[in-house]
Amino acid sequence: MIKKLSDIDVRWLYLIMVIFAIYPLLRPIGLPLPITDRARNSFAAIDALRPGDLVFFGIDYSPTQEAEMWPQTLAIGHHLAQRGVKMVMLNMIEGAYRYEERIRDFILSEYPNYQYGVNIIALPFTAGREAAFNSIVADLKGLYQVDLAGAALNTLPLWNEITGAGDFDMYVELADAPDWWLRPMSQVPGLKLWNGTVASGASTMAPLYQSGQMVGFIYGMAGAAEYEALVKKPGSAAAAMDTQSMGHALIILFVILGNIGYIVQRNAEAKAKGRK
Amino acid sequence: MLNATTGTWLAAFLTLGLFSWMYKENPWFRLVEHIYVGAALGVLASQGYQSVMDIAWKPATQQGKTLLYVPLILGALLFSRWSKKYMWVSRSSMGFLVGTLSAVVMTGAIKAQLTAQVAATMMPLNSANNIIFFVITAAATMYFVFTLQAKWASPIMDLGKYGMMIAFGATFGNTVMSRISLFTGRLQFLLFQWLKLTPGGS
Amino acid sequence: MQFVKSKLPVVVTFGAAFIIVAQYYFNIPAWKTLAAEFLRWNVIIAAFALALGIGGIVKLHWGRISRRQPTAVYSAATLITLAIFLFVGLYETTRGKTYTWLYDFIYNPVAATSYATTFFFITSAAYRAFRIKNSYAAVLMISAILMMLQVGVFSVYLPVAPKIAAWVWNIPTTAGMRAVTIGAALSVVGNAFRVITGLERGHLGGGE
Repeated sequence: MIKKLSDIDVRWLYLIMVIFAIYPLLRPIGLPLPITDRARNSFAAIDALRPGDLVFFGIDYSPTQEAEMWPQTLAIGHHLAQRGVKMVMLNMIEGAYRYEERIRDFILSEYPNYQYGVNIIALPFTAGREAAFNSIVADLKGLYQVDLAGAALNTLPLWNEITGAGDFDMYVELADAPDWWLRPMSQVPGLKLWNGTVASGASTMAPLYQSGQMVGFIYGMAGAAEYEALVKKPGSAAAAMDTQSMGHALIILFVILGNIGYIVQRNAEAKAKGRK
Repeated sequence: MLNATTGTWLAAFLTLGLFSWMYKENPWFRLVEHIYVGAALGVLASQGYQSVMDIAWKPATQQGKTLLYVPLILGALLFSRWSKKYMWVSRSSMGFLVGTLSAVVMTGAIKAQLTAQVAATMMPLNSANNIIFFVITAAATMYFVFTLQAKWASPIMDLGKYGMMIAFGATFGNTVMSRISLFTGRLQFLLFQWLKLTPGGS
Repeated sequence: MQFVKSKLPVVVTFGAAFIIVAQYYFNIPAWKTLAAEFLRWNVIIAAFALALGIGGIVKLHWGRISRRQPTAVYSAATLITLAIFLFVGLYETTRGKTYTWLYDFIYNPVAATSYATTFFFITSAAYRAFRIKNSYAAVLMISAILMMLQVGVFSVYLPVAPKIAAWVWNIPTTAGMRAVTIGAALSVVGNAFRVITGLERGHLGGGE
């Protein structure tokens, strides 16, 4: 019986996973969500921004990581708009432009004090990734001539106020890839760096947060759910946390089951060898 | 025809097609998989085209920034890679691209990841946490960077390996979190956008 | 001609890199302007490079179709989808309504779902491959499980778990990853140096 534990058809495990993932989405359990110090400190860093401060808002993820990153984008978009900062949005990942469009439109519809071109601008997709960020640092205004919608940037009052990357107070980067944005942007004197990323890439960024190179750092759907709670705008991340909890419990159970089966089998093999 | 309703049904068909792999590989899955390749490449190319238009073509042709014709020509030359005979034409463009990128990566990595990270490890050893942090970083760096064969270094290397295992274990744990999230995201689409169910009732 | 084919690309690689690196050492405004211009050129050439993959994919799938292989129907699906995205993206631009529809209802679901299926790989790996074969594997597993114990249900029934997990994350994990960061940075610098000095030329490609 125990030996069979190491030989279950994984499709049964998939089915159990699917059931345990769907159930809490339809019948939320409402498990508590502990807020980490990291999330609180990251919230405080954005909360310290003053109305009128200039912030880069980088949207650098493709649909592959939408489930983790879009809830973060919404929650942080809320917070930046609540602080009344001036935002310049950009994207460097192929396919990220739709999220930039969506968060731009969301902020413009939810926050009447935001007027396109006056206190919020969305820049178009730029290829080259790390080189593109370096180009922003070297000559922001030389790089971009039109905005995300294709309109001339020199007709927008906010763009005409800006002289270069050095004018900005904070760079908030929501990225599904780790550090290629940080290397160039950390060269701008006085620019505070803030990062939201996917859970699978979080350990890469952890040393950069610990060293103080970033003032804020959240990751994954859990980070998004914590931020939703902090800005008091519960959304899809908070709603999915019960499923997260169930999924983790099952994965731990599968690891244990697999290992029990493995140990039993190994012992049986050792015994058989001993008999020979 | 190209409205949100037909779109949502098409998206559900594609989503379920990819998930059907869970049972076993089948023609539905393979079809959607191949659609993904075409779509991903199409998005890459069309985004690249749009970027060339926005960043170079329009400024060069409409605003008189004639210097931008240089990268436009260098970029166009890249397509000679599609021909074995004329591939050499693309080499200087590729050399420029990789040369500039290597330069920014090198300078950036030295400043942001090497110098800053080493400096941050030079912490006062006045608490247990700081001591553990310093020792693991030093031991794991030794293991990762140097290949010391000396017997005396063996326990340090072992400690480094354990430090790395803790880090990789945490990365695996977080990857589980990531993957559950991505799956949950698709379930939310199927349940709430396609089937229009509501949480707490159906 | 031989110079143009084999030597010039190496000279261009070195020259372009030198202009970028040297700006950090010499405070000459004209040099910095040139470096900024080079970076802008890089961004433009990189945008062209995004379409380079088309050549290989079209060749591969067209070959399958023309040889009437059993997988030809799938290859046709790839090429038709690619053609639609390209045609609409170029004709209507990526800002058009049709392109947005294609993006939202074809590209978005397939991209998101293809990554979501990795959830099943992870489930399978947790059950089949995550075995305690030695002390290193045991440490790896304990660390992974602690990370998973941070969420929801465990914080209710095992309130100490998130605290231990936070410590494991903040101290040993971050310390271990710092070593990886330092090692990776050294490797990046070394590779970049090889490219700049022409020791590594793989990116220049083969051909005649």
